Amino acid sequence: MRLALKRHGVLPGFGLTLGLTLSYLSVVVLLPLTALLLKAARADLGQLWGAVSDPRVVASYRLSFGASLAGALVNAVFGLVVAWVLVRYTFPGKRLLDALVDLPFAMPTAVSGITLTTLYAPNGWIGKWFANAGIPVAYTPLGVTVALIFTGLPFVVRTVQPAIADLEAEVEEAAASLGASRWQTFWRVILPSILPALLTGFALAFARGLGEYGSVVFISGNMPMKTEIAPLLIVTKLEQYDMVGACAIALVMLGVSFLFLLAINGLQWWSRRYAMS
Amino acid sequence: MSIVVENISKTFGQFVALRNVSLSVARGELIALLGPSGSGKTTLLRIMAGLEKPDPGSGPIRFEDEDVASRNPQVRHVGFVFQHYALFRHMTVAENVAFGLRVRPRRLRPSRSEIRQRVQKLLKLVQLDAFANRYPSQLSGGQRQRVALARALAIEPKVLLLDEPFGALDAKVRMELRQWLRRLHDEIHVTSVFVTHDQDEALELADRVVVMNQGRIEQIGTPDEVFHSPATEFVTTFLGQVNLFHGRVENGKVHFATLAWDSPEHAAMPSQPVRVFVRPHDFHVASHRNGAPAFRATVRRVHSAGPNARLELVAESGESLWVEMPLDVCRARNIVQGSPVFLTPRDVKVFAESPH
Repeated sequence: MRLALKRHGVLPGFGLTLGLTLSYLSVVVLLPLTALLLKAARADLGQLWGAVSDPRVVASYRLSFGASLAGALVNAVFGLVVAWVLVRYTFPGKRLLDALVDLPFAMPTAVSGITLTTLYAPNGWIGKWFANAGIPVAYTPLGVTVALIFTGLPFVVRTVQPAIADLEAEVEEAAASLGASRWQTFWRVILPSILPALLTGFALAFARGLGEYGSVVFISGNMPMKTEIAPLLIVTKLEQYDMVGACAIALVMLGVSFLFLLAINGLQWWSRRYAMS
Repeated sequence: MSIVVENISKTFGQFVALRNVSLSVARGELIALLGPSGSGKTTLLRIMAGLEKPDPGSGPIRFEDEDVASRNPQVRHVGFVFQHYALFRHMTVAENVAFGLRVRPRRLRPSRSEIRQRVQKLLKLVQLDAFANRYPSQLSGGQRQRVALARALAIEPKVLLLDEPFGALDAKVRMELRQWLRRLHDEIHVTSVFVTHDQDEALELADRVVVMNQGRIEQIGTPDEVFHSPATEFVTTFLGQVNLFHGRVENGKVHFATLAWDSPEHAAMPSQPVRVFVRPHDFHVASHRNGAPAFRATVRRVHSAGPNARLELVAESGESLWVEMPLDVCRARNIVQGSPVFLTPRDVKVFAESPH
């Protein structure tokens, strides 16, 4: 084992940086997770199952995962377009637009939540058009999705941008000289090259959506069984001093998210298979 | 398919890449565009492929009798090979080669099995049939460039355009691939144009060489012509090494070093200062005056590694120069550091001193 580790040590500092990484990850990530597990382990199984199988909790899972997935999918498509425009074209105000992409990162989530609610409420600037068309946005699952699209956008744009910038112009020229149309070139050459980055952005946006709290609770309306997200239920349980219930809901979210991220990682590995030799 | 371009100009902002260039390539010919960087050779190639648009007012670009100047690269049926291969890295070697066939509209697309056969045949042609399922990242530079060539040939191009095809490869692979490309061309006879800044490559490989400088064509000719009868001073200095003397032409005689060289071909040239070029191997070296017109020089150093001795000399008139001679002759005449020698040029190129 010692020998196996040493073999990687061509670059100096392997031992030091690996040690730092492990202790840092332990303190920042593993320790809180372990505390969560310990807390849950003290309760009996019946109690845990009762907490997670409550129809109100199940509905909140469905909303949280569904809206996060939908939001991440929408962002994957439009985030790609935004990243494409920001890399490929020059136009006045480009830098401003580029900076704007980071705004959802920087804004306090409560502020964005309240702003979105005002905009999308049935009497809001945007909401009234939707309301006229018979599609209410605020206080529905659609509203939750809108909030998650807002918070997830920078993840996709910022991961895809460098991948697009790295594309060689010559590869596209090669495709053109071989007779491929612009669309075929995009679909068969460009997209597969940026797919790993796009998947990363998608996974990040999705994970962020699952944990998002501040910007969602205002626009969702928090109606039990309808627009209640899982993180909100966890907070509710905590406020009722139901530590075990909160832990149980959190554990399920943790488990499912982990599986999702694992699957996306697998997909990423597959989409980068050409780079392994 | 023949290629004719007429009066092509191209500017990038302030930079003039091509000035009124005209060129015609015969069917089945292998042509080299040779020049230093910035001479416009790559721009000319890219204009032929449709990857760059010539300036407005430029003449036609004809493939056989068709003017393709206004056509997109997609419909020009040009096989283009890039210096850095430009392979699709997420596709296997076979998928790369098949790409040009797979993107065809359905009614023109060969069947799957036909595509597979053609890919197999092409990979055999470029000697990579064992690598069909590898990814480009698993191949060496020379192999990647052969994949790029097979991919370009898959669409059965009317013309093959190669942009510094060996530029990114190391010397040995370069040499092998060069000879291989020549054999391949003799086999399939597709009209080909390649760009290079390496005069050896151009002279060895091409049927005709187009020497370019600062956006203009300096000379078009066979390797023999451009090497032995360079039309301009630039061609003389760019193709191989030369010794430069500043001299004068007067009454059919070229005066340089301490020599008055009889030159009937310059009899008509008015008296004027000239630049005289002699290649290092175009000197006869004697250890004594033997009646032939010669000028005196002193050997400063002898480099004897290689089949030829390379002598570093100073002429009596002050110029430093290089002379090459067979090593055994050098040894037989006992030419060593410090020896006085007498040099008789065998061949001189004379160009009027350009006003600077």
